[in-house]
Amino acid sequence: MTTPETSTAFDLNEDQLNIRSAVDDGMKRFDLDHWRQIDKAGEFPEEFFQFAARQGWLGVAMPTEYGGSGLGIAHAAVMMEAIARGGGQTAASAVHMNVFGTNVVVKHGSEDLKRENLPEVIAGRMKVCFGVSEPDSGLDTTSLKTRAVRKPGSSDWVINGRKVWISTAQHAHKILLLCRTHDPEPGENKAKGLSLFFTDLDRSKIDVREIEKTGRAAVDSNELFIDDLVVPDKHLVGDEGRGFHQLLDGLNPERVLVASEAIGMGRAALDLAVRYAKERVVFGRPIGQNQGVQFPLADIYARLESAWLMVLRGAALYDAGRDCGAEANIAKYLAGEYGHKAADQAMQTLGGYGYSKEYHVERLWRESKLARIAPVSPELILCYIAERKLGLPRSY
Amino acid sequence: MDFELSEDDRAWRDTVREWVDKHYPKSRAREIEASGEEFPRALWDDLAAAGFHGIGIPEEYGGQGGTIVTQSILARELTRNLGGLIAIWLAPAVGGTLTLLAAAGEEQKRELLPRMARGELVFAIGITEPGGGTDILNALRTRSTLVDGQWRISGQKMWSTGAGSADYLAVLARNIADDGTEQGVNLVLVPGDADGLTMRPIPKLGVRSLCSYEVWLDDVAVPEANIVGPVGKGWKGMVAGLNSDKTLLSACATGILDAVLEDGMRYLHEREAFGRTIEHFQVLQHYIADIASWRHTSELVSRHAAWLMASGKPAAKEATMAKLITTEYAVRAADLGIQMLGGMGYSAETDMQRYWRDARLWRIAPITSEMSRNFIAQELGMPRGF
Repeated sequence: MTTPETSTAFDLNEDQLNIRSAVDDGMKRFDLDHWRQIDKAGEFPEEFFQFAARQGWLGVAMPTEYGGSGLGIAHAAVMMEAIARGGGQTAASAVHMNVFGTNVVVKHGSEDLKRENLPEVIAGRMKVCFGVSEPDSGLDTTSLKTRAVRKPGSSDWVINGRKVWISTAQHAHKILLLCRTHDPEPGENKAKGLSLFFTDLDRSKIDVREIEKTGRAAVDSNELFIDDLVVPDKHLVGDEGRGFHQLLDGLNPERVLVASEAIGMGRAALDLAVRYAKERVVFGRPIGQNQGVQFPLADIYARLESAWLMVLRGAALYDAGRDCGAEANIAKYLAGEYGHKAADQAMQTLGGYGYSKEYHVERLWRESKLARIAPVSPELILCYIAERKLGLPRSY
Repeated sequence: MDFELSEDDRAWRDTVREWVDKHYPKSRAREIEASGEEFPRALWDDLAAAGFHGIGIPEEYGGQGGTIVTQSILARELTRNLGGLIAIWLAPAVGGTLTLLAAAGEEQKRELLPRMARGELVFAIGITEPGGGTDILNALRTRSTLVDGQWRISGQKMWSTGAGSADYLAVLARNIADDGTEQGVNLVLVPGDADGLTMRPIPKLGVRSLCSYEVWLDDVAVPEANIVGPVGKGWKGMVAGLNSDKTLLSACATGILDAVLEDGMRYLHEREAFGRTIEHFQVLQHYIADIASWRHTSELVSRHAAWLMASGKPAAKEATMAKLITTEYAVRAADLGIQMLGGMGYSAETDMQRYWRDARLWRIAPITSEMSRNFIAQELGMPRGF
């Protein structure tokens, strides 16, 4: 008989553990009361953003030659979980785009594009936003209407169109813009002919209008009206017409990171609920002694743990250069659902105090709903799993 | 067995629906909710002008009369547009009117009820304390003592909705006798401008423009005659409205389901994706089917509880079940509503998020879903589980 070896493949490695404890430590400077004030004021958390830059957090998954740490999306996921656990979606979204938004540039951009931008993004001197969704093509991405056409007699492009739900566009210096550069041939996939540009968010050509929303007031979401934006050819990322395919190097990491953020928020809410359930005495005993109170919390703990494993799996596949579409989607699906369920159960546990703004749960409740809608809805993920994993016919 | 509303009740429903669509369409309710004011006085005054504050107050006391069925119809139709702002009507209708009808002396009723019916008096209640609302008899710390013909009251209250604009605050306090012993509890009407009364609004998730307050009473002096009911027996007035509160809230939750269904179906019909309007997608149809089924269930249990009460039959269990079922459905439906609208549902420029935030309160107050279940289990004869 041999003793079975304990597999450590599911545990965080030393780098990851160090990242988590460093971020946990850093987040102590930005406690929940701090984030409540930020949310109330609705002002971008610049102080935190700059702190994150100084700590090197923004470059965690960027190559070392441009000033990054050269680690993977799994490390970024560990970091984003801790940031969201400390400060909710507001904290996570403040840095989210800088952490992964230029990943597409890393993978597909020209050397000049990288040298010019990545060090600035990593140092926090440049903020980045994603310009993908459009008013009439939220989830139906390939039907987007924004067009880039060659300026006559020049290699420059001229872009016109509208984008919606563009986070941080009030502050961003650069935008990764998905546009149609040519129409697909009859019978060809609609994804053909879409191209990516990484270019200046020129406010004289792009009108940025903020959308007021339910949660995360401090990190803006916007509608963009792009009117004759001239973009030099060197800002084209990778090959013309292959933008949608290249964008997957942005979308899959994004799903993994959004999932890790949802889990962070869920854990923050669970922690608040558990503390309250231990302290609050009603009918002569702590309310946490009631099965009606403790079972739902135990259930949440189990769900968050299971979703976290899916996050690590999606990230590990991505970092290994393997296809991770299904895993990234599943991670985002489970984490989005459970993260919000955790916040909802926390609100229920705290009762009236959960509904008040002073105990932080209501902010987590509003913010965690976002991960159930964006960047892709659970409904569309289920479509994806049904088709790709189960071989069921396309339903839409 | 007859499940239909009477002809009068149907006409009443149409009247209220017309009124609210004309004066308070959803867009206006959304603006009011987001305005950040502490008490939407114009809404209060318009409800008064329409005579709605007097619904449920008997005609002999200057009201419009009507049963809890009449009130339920009003509450549901108003909530369909107003969402959680319905509390501006509901809180005084329960905590004020029903309390006075059940426990006040004849003189007090004749003095106060006609003015309440006309909307001249705003009522708020001060029952819950920082130590709790569910186990209020144990949590109660506020004390009242009769000194030289005046009640002297000291203590602290939580979640007193509308207190900042109230003419009277119905305060529950322990009754401390001359010899210092505790003899029951008193319910005392404290004028909103009394000396020693201070308060602060509690920022909260929903119904942001109708504030709930934390209230401090520091040796507040109130005339002896302001007590509601006999000395030491204030509990009677307090519990008088409990079943009505649950029943009327179930009507409000049904109104939220009306609103979600209406807004959701309209959006699915207008929004296009993948080459057709999204109402063609099966899962979205199923969401709608679920919401419609929840609304139907809610309408039945809510109406049944109201019918039991209006018929003078016991309704404690049924009112609690109606509150539990309808409020859980309302929040779930609003959540699906946001899901159907996607990003537009998360935007503050549409109403789903307002229904969702507002209805969420009702899973907590006036009694949590968990305590409702405890109570129902007890009513079924099970041993006390809490």
